[in-house]
Amino acid sequence: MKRILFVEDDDMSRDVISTRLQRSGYDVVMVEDGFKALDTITKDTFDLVVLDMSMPGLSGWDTAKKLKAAPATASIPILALSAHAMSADRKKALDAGCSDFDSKPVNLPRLVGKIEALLGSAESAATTVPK
Amino acid sequence: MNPPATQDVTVIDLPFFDTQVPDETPGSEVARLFERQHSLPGIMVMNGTQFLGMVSRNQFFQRLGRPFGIEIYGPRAITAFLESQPVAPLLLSAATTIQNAAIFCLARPVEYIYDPFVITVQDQPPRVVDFLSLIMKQTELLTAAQIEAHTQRAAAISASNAKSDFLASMSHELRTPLTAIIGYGEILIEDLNTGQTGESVRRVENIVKSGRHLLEMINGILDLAKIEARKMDLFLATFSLSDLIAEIGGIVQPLMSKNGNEFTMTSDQLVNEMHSDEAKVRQSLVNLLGNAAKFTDHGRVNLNIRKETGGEGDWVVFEVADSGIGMDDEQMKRLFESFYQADSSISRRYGGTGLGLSLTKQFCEMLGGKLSVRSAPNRGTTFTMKVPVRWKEPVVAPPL
Repeated sequence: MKRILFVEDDDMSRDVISTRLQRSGYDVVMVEDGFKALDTITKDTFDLVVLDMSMPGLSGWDTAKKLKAAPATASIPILALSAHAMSADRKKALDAGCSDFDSKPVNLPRLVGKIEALLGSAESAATTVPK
Repeated sequence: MNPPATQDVTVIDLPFFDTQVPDETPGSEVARLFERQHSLPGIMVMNGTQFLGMVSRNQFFQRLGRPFGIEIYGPRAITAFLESQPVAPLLLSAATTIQNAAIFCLARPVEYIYDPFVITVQDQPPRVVDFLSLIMKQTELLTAAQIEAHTQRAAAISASNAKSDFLASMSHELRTPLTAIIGYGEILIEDLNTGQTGESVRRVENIVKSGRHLLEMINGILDLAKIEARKMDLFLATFSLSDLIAEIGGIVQPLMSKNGNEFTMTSDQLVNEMHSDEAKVRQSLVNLLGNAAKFTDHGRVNLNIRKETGGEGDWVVFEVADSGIGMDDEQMKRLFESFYQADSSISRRYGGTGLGLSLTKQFCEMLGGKLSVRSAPNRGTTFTMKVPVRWKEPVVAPPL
């Protein structure tokens, strides 16, 4: 089962989206801010990070930059999931190092499609690494 | 103060010369007049009160400087000079705008462009105006118009940016409760299909809570839009302030108790009746007291009401002071912006739409008053709302 680190500060959004991801067959670990995300990601293995953008403390953009800058986590794909849904917001997330972007409210088939695409490409990237 | 629009200024506003000579004056005398006053650009030749023509300094001395010029025009009457001029002087009515005068002047043959021109004024002697003073006035007006245009453009850009920011924030703020509503709804459909309804009540409660939050936000947005479009009406009536305060106390007491706050009301000088918009006074005070209750935990909130006289009459000053978390200068600067909550987690931790203070400030201004704030981190916050006892057109902001 693929393991997803889901970072979201809004209680209801976290509850709703994690439930739906679990029901879609993922192992979901939830944290409510960027600092906890950086801490949790080193304690376990994750296949993907689903990251909210506007969060207090360490924002999603800054969290993505830190994850991409650390060698241990740089290869884990990040899917930005934000209620900032203007086209500039997508670019801002990608510029911060996210691999893809999706907006809230969640369209589950679309979100799962993006998650699968990122998990698939991460896998094929991993298999091409010479042993 | 706005500069006068370019099209409103006419040649009558320009400095002028009124030197005139009778038609039989010899040329040598006209030359002496010019020599005596070096700034004089032209002299009018009159037959009694009838204007016959204008001798321009430029043209006159140019002609005198030619071979036999002085011999020809010196002893003769100045009319001889006028008759020898191939181009008549430019005559403009007093209503000619500066802009048009400049166009007419510059349309003259090139050797006459720098000549003065004559303004005819109803029931007054004609006036001679220097070309240079016209051009200086024209430059002044154009510069003022340019500055005005720059200012307007900057204001328009700033308003447009503010609107874009507002829309972006609004989109974000509406999408967050919708994420919960749609998400919980879809989970409930799955639960109903599979018969797993153990958590349904909690989920439905969250849908209702998010829906209410959304409604509160939409009402706030509509109110702000109405105020901006100047469609928000004032419902003026005379009402009892003590009744209103008692009612507000009842509304906010549960909010105060929720965070274990002690709520007190004090009054320095009684105002019995107000003539204002009661609903807006009520909403403003409930917003301020609600905020104070939210951002204070097991502390104190006090509402002080006093009367002040000054400016253009009597004012009621409502002071909402709390012993809560307070704000730093940066937070205070943006406090009244829509959707600005000092920290984006605030709406989650403390609730609220991020529109309350923005609305309260607008309401106070509609009521002819003013809202101000004093605060420091961990030192509490005091909002002061000052409104006229009797509503009047908000012309001058009250001293605070």
